[in-house]
Amino acid sequence: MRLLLGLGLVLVGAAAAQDEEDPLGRPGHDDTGTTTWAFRLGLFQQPDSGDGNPFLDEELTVIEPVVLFETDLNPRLRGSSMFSYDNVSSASIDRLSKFDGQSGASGDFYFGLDLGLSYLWDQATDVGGNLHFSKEYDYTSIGLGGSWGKEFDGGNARLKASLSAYLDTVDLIRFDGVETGDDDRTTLSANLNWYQVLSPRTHGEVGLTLGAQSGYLETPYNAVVIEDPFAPPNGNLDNFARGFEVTEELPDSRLRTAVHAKVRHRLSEGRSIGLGARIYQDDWGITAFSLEPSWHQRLGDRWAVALRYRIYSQTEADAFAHSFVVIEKERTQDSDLGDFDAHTLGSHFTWFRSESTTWDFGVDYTDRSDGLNHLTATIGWRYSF
Amino acid sequence: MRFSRSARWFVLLPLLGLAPSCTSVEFYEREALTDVTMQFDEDPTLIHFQQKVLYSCEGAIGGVGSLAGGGCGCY
Repeated sequence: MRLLLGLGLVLVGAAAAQDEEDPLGRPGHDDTGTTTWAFRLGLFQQPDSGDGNPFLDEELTVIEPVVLFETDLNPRLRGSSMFSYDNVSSASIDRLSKFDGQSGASGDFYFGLDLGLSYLWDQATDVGGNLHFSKEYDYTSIGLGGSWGKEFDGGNARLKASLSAYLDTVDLIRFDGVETGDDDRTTLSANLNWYQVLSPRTHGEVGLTLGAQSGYLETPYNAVVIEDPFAPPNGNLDNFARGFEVTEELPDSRLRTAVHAKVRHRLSEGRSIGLGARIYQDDWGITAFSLEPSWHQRLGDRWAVALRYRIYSQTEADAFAHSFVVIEKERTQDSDLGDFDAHTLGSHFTWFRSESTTWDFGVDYTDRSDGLNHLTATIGWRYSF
Repeated sequence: MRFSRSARWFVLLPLLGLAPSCTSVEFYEREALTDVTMQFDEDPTLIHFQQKVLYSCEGAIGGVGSLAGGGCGCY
């Protein structure tokens, strides 16, 4: 934590040391510089109010710093690298400390590294590739991706297609602290995105995401409680319910489809409205939709604010149940695979401190029908030269 | 609230609104689209954070960044 605070102070100091410049010549996020440094600190906070899975304490705090570096390697080639680190404080991981050979403290980190290259093939076409590596205490992931984009109609439309593949290895550390080896997970995804200028004041995007996963798709330390009124109170459970725990079991494959769109319309100079939407379906039985209206407003020459509301609703997976009395072949009590609605209110402020430096601050609060409400906050700094 | 047919129409309406325009907009008419309040492309670090939060809390994917695959996202 001290390291994170120190890094944040260094960045604040570096920004304060820069000369102020007129920001009027910088319309938005157009990176005209050849090199960009960016830093972000994100916070996710979910208290446990007794809702969600009644057998678990679902309190969770995640602090994530992210560092991005992008630069033009030559007039056609741009490279990027992004490093992220998660500091996780989770009751579901801490509970493993009760078992010999496991430490809750060992479960509190994640780091990821993404490297990318983008090549401008001609005036209207670009291609790109990226490599991914991430590591958690019980999880290793490597990934490879590629993309192709092309402009049409003099820049009025743009098609982008991308493919990604990930190979993950999971250490199977169970809810009782027992390790039962490791297993693999493969993820393939395809994204197709169409951008369209609809009028001099309106533009939008529509996209299709297809995902196929296979292998070990459960969360290793997730348990399902088989309730038994004749069993003694179970001290491993948050509510001391009568019953015993068994491992979570889910299908070995998952096909996921999402169609999403967003549109933005300028009402007047420095004032716009937006609308985003998504429909999602998978073969685990989950259907979901979201709708997100937003308001975007300039505040003077140096500030802009975005206000948004998001409604999200999903049905439960076939294997999900709040309560089990017999051991089903496929079973989960993971709240994120249950049915719930969520309402999010958010605000995001951007400060164009100078022509080259931007700061942004955002806070979102989500109210979920299953009680797992959460708060996210983020602060970001971006410097292009 | 259950996912209903009427809710699907609320989602489909903006999709239909994105049907490709038949009228080309000249480049000199697109100045309004460069306004800071009209930008879709957010900072990659913000997308990274938003994607991780959404994909670890919800059963759905898509619409924010690329499909999650690296890391289990199972806090």
